[in-house]
Amino acid sequence: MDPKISVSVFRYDPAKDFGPRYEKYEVACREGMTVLEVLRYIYDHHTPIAFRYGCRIKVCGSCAVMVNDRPVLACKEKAHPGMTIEPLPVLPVVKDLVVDFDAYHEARSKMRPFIQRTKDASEMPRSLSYETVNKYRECELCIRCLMCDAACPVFRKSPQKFAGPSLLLEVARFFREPQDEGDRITLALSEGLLSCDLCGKCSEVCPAGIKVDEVLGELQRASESRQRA
Amino acid sequence: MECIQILETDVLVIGGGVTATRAAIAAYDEGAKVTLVDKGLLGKSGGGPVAYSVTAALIRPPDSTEIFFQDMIKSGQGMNNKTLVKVFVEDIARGRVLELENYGIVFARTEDGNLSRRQMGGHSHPRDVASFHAASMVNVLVSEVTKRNIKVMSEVMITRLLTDRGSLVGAIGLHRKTGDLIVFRARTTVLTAGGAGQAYGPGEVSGYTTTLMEITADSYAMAYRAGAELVDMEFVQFITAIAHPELYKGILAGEPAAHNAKLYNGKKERFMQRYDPQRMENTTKDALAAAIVQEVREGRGTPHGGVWMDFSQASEDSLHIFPYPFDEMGIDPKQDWVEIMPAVHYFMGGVRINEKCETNIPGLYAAGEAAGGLHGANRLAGCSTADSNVFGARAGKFSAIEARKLQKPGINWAQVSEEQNRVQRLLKSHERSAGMAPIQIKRQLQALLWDDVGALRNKAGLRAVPEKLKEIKLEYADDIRLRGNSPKFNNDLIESLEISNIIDFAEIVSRAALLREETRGGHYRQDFPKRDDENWLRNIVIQCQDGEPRVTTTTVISQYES
Repeated sequence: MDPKISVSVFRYDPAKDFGPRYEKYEVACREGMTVLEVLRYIYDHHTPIAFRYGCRIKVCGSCAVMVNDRPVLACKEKAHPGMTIEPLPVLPVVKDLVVDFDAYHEARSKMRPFIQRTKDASEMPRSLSYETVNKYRECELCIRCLMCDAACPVFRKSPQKFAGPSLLLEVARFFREPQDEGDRITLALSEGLLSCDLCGKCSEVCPAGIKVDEVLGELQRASESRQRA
Repeated sequence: MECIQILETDVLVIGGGVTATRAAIAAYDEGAKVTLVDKGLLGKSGGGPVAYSVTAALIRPPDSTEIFFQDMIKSGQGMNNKTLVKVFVEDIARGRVLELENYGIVFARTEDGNLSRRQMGGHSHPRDVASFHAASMVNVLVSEVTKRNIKVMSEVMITRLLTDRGSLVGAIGLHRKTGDLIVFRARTTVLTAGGAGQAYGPGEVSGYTTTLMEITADSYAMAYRAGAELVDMEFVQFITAIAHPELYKGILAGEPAAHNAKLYNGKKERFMQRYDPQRMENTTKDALAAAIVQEVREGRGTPHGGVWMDFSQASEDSLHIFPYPFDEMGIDPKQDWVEIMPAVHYFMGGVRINEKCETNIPGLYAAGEAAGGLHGANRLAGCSTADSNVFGARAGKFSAIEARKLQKPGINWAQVSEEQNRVQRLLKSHERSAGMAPIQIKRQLQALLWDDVGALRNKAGLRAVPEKLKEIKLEYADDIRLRGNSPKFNNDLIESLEISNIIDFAEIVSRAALLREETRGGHYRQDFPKRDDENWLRNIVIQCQDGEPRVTTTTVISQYES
């Protein structure tokens, strides 16, 4: 028999409940069990809590939740007794652990997250330097799990002033793209780029291993050197 | 739920992966008003996040479209629709996939900055390119969808296609967040939500498949119920996947040949000696899958129902090309053997289309894994995402051209209220004092498909399917009990709607698999272990007539203009 552990889960149905509550569930916990398996266990054996997941291997970024106020990917994070599982912060809750991404998508489309250019495309395939490819590669690894936003003290305090590391990373991706002609620096500044104090909490939680604070630092330096010029 | 919203569009695209986004972009560029509806979150659902490797490179001497064509036919074991293959190889040669670099994807480069091309199994020349990140391709396509301001509705599950006097006029879907039903009135509709991996299992977290959670045979079942012809449904591709731990059951492990790996059964015998002493582990995917299943059935499996794979001779490259979860599993693949099993990877069959992606129903188009015929009995490596690009773009273009010619379609409200009643009935099941949660019924179906319509089939198993399905259908009608009666983000409701799709799918696949008394590609019959060209160079076509499947066979389409 697997030992039982007790976990606490954020429950909230805005259509019915006056406010969120936390419920405790007993879960038979196997060695090495992840948070995702705990959620699935509760869904199967206790009650149909609402949560999202997709790929199980850290590529779709759908299963991000907070465990003890720390953003994690449920498919990767190991479960432990007494943990509290909550939805990502800032975004409105649809139900239980499911958050509403509509506002995020709207904000994301304002970042113009596509290549802007006036010239016709060059002949394909492009010949690219190894360096360009590797720089490009770093931002491309983003799985849009929004854990960096959840970890960012500036974003959590004033999301209206600072778009958050995830969206600025989106801007940086096109800043580094050699085909792009958009003015990404002005865009990043208007989204609060300089509010970021490069604390590095975003990079600590990034499941793709992106040095998000270094990428944002690069954008900040580019904006400074443009002001000097 | 009382609320029914009506949305009008020229072209409705159902799906959210590479095929769907390519179709939406192409239809928009042709001047159509487009609406894309995804059961999951766009960019995170379906096959998109794992579409990392693609047959794409320009076909230059000594390679040629003719050699590529022959590779496809050889892999498809003569079952391919040659008109589709011809269109496909020529479009790839013209750079259909490489044009994604205009959208910002960067395929892997060699140190001198040129494309790094890999030669995959079954290809006579190196034609495959890989992106750096599994989701890169769908990411750049989502970017282009955003750029065009195409209407995207995420987390809306289309539950039924709507017809009017024999033509397709749109679809009805459940908005997961609001719980509302939405009627999409569309001049033309492109079905791209292919695959059925989650129909096989049962696993605790997922079906036994390399694919994501949304993939539950929706396109096949909905098209079938609307009267579309399905072709080649017996051909299912299995691939070597992780068997343990439970969380990763079904996750791609890669083919032994790609990792230079050896396979051992529970008794530590290199069992492939018995099945294919010449090629051993380098044999075809289907023969490998059938051999593993046989070892396990005969009691020579590993503790968790698989066989051992020894990765110790694998190259660093092969171990890192895909996000294999070895670290999370706490193992070192260079040291430890990994328990592997075959898992469902891809469906060669699907809605029968012509080179314009038209189906037998006016107004209905299908492309990608939702469509059948291109790959024949077995798909060549790297050709799924390539197919998505070629036929996704074609479906978008031709459906938009057709939409221009059509009047605003009428909606058959009787169909809409039927669907409304179906959803209401499911929600009402919550009032039953006792009953089965949808997941329990889904798991029975998954086990049925896995055991009797899986990688190794025989007459006895296939013949037993209708009786077992009948019981499951009764349970579904009489015993199902949803654990909540709100339509808003009610996963029991989604799962119960998926179950009805899997039931129809099980019926279709088992009928086709019983009829084909031979072994070919992704159809492995224990009782007919040889390929039989004399009787079976024919495609099986299934169509719903008066609620029953009508099964016919037809000669393989072999005309094409060269």
